[in-house]
Amino acid sequence: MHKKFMKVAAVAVFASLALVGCSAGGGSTTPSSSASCTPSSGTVNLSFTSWVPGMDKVVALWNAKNPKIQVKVSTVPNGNSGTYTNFFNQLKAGNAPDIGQVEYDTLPAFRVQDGLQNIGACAGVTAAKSDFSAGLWNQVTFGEASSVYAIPQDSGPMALYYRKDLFQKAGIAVPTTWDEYAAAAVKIKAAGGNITNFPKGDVNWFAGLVSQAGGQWFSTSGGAWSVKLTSPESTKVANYWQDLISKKLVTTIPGFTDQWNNAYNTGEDWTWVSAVWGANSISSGAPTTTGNWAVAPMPQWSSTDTAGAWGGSSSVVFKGSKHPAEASKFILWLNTSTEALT
Amino acid sequence: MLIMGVFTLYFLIPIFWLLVSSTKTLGNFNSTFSLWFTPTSLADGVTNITKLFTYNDGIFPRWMFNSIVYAVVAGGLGTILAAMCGYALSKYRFRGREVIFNVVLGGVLVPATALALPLFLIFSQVQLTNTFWSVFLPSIVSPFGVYLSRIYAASSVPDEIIEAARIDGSGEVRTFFTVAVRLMSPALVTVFLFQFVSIWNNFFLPLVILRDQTLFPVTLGLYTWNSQVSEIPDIRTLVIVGALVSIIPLLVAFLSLQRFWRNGLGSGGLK
Repeated sequence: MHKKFMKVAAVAVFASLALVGCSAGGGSTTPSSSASCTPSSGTVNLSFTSWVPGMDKVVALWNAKNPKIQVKVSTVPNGNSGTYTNFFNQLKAGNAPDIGQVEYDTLPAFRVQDGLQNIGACAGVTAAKSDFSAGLWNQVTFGEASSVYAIPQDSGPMALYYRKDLFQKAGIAVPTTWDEYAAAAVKIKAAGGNITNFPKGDVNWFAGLVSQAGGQWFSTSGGAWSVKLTSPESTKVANYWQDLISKKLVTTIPGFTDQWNNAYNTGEDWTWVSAVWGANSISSGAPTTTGNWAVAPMPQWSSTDTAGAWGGSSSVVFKGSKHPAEASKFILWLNTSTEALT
Repeated sequence: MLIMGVFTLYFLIPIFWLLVSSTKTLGNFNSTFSLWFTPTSLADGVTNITKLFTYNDGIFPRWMFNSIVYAVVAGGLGTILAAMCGYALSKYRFRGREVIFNVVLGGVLVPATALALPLFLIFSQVQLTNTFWSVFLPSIVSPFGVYLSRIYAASSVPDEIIEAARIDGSGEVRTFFTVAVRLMSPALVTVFLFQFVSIWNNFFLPLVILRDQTLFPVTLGLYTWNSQVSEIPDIRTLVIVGALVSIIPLLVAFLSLQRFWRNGLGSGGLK
């Protein structure tokens, strides 16, 4: 028993040494080397954990075309419902899947825990930069040159969903700036509705609003994290919404609950600043209002056209994967090739 | 009586809601009165159930099957182990008996949730995570069952009967299975039911340990679906119908085992 344990321990130590060599470029200790992402020979089996419905079909397509790189997909509850915690546990235990799905707002947490494999040196990864918008790419590299920690999967640019029938009936113009939005809120209140709902618990949504205003909460500069939760941009956005809440111009129902669905379904709330995937939530949560919604650009703070982002996820290769080269090849295909995306 | 009536309603209304909601389409679910049926309830209910059993290549029946295997097999094995352990602790005198019993009793106080993470790390060491055994093995342990079995064995299995069995030439194991188990059966049914329910409702351990969807118990499967509602709205009806279907085995277990729940089987045996 004791002997066996020693053997296991030796393997673990060896594996972690190998990992250190592999992760060069990402860590601050070793300089990057191009040899850190060499493909393995022979057939490679990869494990992939995701919660995207229908992912098994996409993976089956890949497996049929790539007999040498076989991927086994596991469908699990979504990240915040326990899978992120599981990822952290598995990373600690050294049995994390090769590939996982991580939303942008959680990527830094995995980076801080050193759970992500830097795939910057893997073939084709840096070349894929041109396939994505600069802002998105910045989120998966953390601004580090020659490092890539994830491949963007989907993004959530935000826009303004509004009830065009109600706006028309009340004769209110669709707001294009936040000032107009606040003015419209007063008129809508007079017409018996609420302009929108402010979900007090949804920090990711609020982060989207702040990022539109130009605030960035977390960033790296000079190899150190800087956290700015009380920048002028953040406080501007917070004060704006606090004003609407104090004047009772918005409802404050927790997001994505039945009560929240009901507020939209009954026309109590008229607009929703949300991401592209929000259309889905509306059609499921407020089915009686189908066809009455329209989309406009997010209200602006100044004359420059900006939008926030809410949600969206990326594919990552976890530390501990024995086949980062094959894994990154797969996630590149998954997120850039047209056959995988259709 | 009135209080009982109120509490009965309090417990039954959610189940009634579940029953009603599972007979609705998504549109009706959101728009009609939530505690009564719609005119198309019967047809919609049938459609929902068909969809439930065929969605994603019939993964739901697989989850049900897994749950039943975990609950029945592990529950049964756990009951036998608990009975043996409780019987031994009650009828044999040996050094350290009270210490063992107290340690077991201490186990009753530790919530299963608190053990999930340590179990995960231990199973990782022996590479058993994400396997059938990683959920099955922890499920056969029941400190409460041992406790109950000991108490019950002490009061319902008279030493004289064991003595008589020994004199008649029965071995210890045979005595246990042919005499003691029968006398203890009301307690064993209770232990089994408790085990069955707790394994059936076990959620956190599978959540932490399992990754392979085909090994999921039904609780975790439904939870996974529920977390996908924002991506596929239609799945909400499946979660509701699934929840309804998943309580049926519990009802069956309770109703069919209830009649074994008789007390004092051996009370007249010595007169």
